[in-house]
Amino acid sequence: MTRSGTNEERIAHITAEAKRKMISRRAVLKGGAGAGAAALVGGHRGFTAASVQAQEKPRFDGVTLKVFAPTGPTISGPIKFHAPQFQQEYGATVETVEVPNADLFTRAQQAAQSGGGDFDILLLANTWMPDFVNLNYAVPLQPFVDRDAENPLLAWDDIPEGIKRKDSWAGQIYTYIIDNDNQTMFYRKDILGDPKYQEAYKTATGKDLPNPPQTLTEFVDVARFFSPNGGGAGWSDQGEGYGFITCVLRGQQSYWYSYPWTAPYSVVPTDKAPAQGIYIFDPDMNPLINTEGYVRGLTEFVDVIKTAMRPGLDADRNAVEYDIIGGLALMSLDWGDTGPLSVSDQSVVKGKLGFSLSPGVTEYFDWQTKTWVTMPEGQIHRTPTHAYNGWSYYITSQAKNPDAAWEWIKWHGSPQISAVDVATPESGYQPWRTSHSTNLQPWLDAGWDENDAKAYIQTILDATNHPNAVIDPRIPGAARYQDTLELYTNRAIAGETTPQEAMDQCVKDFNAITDELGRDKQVKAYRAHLGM
Amino acid sequence: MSGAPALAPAVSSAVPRQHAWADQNAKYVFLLPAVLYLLLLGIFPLIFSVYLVFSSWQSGSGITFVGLDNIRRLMVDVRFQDAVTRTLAYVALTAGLELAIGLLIALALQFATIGKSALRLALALPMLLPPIAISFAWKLLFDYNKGPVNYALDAIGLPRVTWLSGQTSALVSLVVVDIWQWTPFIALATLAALESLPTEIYEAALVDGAGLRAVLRDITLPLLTPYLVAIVLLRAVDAFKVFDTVYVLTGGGPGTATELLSFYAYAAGFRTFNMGFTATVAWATAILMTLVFLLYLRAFRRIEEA
Repeated sequence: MTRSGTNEERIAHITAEAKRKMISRRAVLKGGAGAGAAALVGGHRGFTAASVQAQEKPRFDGVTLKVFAPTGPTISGPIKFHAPQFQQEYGATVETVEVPNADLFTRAQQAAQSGGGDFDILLLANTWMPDFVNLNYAVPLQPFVDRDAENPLLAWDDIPEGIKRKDSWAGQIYTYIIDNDNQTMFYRKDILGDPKYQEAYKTATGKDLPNPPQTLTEFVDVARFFSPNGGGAGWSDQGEGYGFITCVLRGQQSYWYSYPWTAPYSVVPTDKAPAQGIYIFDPDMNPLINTEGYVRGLTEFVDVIKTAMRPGLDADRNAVEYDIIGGLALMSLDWGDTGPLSVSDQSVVKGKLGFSLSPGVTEYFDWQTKTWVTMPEGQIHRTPTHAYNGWSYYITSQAKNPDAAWEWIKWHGSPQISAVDVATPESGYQPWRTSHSTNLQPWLDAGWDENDAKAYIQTILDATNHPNAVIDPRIPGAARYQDTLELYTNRAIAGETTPQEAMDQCVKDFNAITDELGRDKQVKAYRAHLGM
Repeated sequence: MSGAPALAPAVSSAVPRQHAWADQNAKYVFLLPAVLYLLLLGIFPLIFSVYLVFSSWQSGSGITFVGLDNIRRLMVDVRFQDAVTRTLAYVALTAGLELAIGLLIALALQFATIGKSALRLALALPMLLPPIAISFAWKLLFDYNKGPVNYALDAIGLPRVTWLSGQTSALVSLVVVDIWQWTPFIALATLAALESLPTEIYEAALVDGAGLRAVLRDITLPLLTPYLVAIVLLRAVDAFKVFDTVYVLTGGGPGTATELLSFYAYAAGFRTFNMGFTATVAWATAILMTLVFLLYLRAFRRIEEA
């Protein structure tokens, strides 16, 4: 296919081609894919290389696929690692064009707006989807998925509903997630389980030391107890240990680290709301970030940074991971990268880390009734947050050979190949297929203890499939809203303003952005994100 | 063959005419690449950026004319006003301190009798290094928990400083890095100016019995001032546009404490693909710089006249 014509025309052509090929492809698959399909039905345990080889394997000799991806080994590294094998098996060359993370959105938008760059595939944040769909730059993947629904490489049934939800927007699949971004709790189970500290905690607080903390209140208490001024000081054998670590530097994704603190207090359970995961905005795009619930979460976040985290306010994202695996911080609420890093050579906490859903709350603020709702005795309201939603593949309307691009995506995301990526410390991908929890060999090969691996994967998948899971809003201009929220969150962290003042000002800016972009258009897009 | 002699005179008269035309117009042909280069890479972006000032160019949509919306938004933006104040303070601090220190170093170097070349080379090293690399090095030095600077403070019994995350100290840290990197520029440029001053006046002053302080006050500084004005102007223009060190060291934070104009343009517009607004900030910065430096030169002229 040539690149002449508008993006819209190119997308129509690609979609028609995918549908046309669907019939012939299915006919082949019915005969050839029996083994693979049978394996998938049985919980994917029987997935083997042989079943893949039984499939029709198209050749794309002479084709070069250009993948736009972030700089650095953790996200673009796996592409480079697998590209030679793909070339051997399918004939196509896969090249990465790397861009620094901070400029990723702008550079991708420039390519989308100008048609320059000639990228076939983008590896970008899932949250930016509408800004590429609206330019007709992101090709709908729905026809490809429909075409290959029974293909064991795609293994569509192996993909949890929570991931499919993130891949969809306005009822269509536009992206293909190869990394599951959600935030969970990492904690030192050896320290929290130590009778010496359990006794000290009981003496100091009159309560049992939770292992792990179940609510944010418990989390704060434990974090303070294990900081230099608390009764559990001196727990670290690596230096001065603190109870908590988070990212506070501006421009370093610091606002995302506030999600696990603000969401539980401000998100209404799905069965009591118009849709799942209504967060930051109500369905009419009225900001919810200055509600009592959100501000309470932010206030607790700011307080715990001051009282239970290493001083200096200079921790970036790397510091969060490396203070945990370096044995200097007891707990963090973070993306899953810390898991695989905990079995790397640099780690001093191998086998000592626990994995759990982020803490919940016993009362939340209902933005619909503007009242606080107390959970029934013994119940905890949890809202696992999916910040960034995950690194996702997009096929662009500039793709010279969309079939080859889809073949790469499908192959790279296949149960067998993706299992290696999610287990290794060298990659920044987190488990996102159900089979990642059953195919444990790559985890054992990467140095994991079997039970630790199971706990880690299950925690990530539980956060994915949780009924109150909160997906990062996918709306046009998402990057502008994100940047604004980061600015004001950071101002609150830095003590420039109170959390309430910061969020009040942020609401004004949010509304200005919404009005500038067109409120009706934004409401429609946001509802498409919510599936309303 | 028979037609050849008849054609000969016509050919011979056409050739000089062609030569004359070629001689006349060749310069345009030779100029064309440079003009095209200038139009494509210089003039067009300039005109396009002016067009963007009056347009909205957002992510996910094309360019639409919005009149003065971007300018209105900029005028009421407190963040922009704060960034202007902060940038002026930063420029005044860096240029002022670098001038003072640079001048002292230049005067000291002027009297150096041995190793002058080696000293010049050593002095030039910081400004030869890429700012991004320097920024990362200073980031490590300023690290609150593991940085050598705080380690040294610990060693002499002084309290640690939140170099990169304090409301005031973060800006001070940026100033320190700038001074470290660019004072050599002022020192070397001033030294070159000192060495170009006429020696006769100094000889006359010595004969008249003028002391070192009098020579400095009444001869060196007055003669040096025009050079210093130009040197400081160059430095200030550069300091006005500082970006790399802010980007690496503080990211504009904590909060907005180190959000200088260039970084503000990047954070408020470029990073989120709000190109119309970014162009507006860029033009506002250019106009502001021009105004400030016109005032600076005017003030200098008045002093000179006085």
